[in-house]
Amino acid sequence: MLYRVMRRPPEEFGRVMMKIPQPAAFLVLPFETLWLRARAGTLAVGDHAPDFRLSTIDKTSQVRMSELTAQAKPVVLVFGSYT
Amino acid sequence: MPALNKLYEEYRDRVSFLVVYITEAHPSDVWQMQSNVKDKVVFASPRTEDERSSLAGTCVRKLGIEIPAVIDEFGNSTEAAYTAWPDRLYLIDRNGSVAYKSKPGPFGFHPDELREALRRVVPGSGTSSPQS
Repeated sequence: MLYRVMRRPPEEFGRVMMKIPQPAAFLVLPFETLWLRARAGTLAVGDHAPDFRLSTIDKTSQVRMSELTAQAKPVVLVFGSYT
Repeated sequence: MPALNKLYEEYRDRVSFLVVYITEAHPSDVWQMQSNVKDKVVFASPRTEDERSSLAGTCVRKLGIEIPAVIDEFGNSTEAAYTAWPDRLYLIDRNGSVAYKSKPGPFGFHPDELREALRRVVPGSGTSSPQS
């Protein structure tokens, strides 16, 4: 059940997790193992990096992934949020 | 974040770096973490694009992120394409192919692994840490 929920979009998963008493969820269940599998994703090493075009934080410009890779330099992508 | 800022300083002339701000991991209205409350990192889920960019700006300032940052759009399409939530690191090689993909955060978020991947992919990377 938990594994299936982990594969749902983040906000849906979060809404289920907030109803589960903590830290029970982490102590009783093999949370990390399930998590690493559920969130493995479909992109694999060697796959083409999906393109995107996103605004900078100050909204003054946009960055396109394919334009970054067209510069023939490797690209580091750091995904994350504040909380 | 300090480890990533350091990699950025070290490699920025040879590698493009981009932070992609994605949907919040533990906003106050969805699965809040006590550790965040303790650190006073308490924010509700942004309800509009403007709220999202405002929170993204706060995130970049407070965490001292020096790497250029963009914001995933409200449909979270880039997060989905990269299975990026709650946090994840990628290195894309000069041909546009995935060279390194971290395991999903928080368990799999290890800047040291990214450093190793950069050494493999970037010609002329030293095998020892640079002098600081």
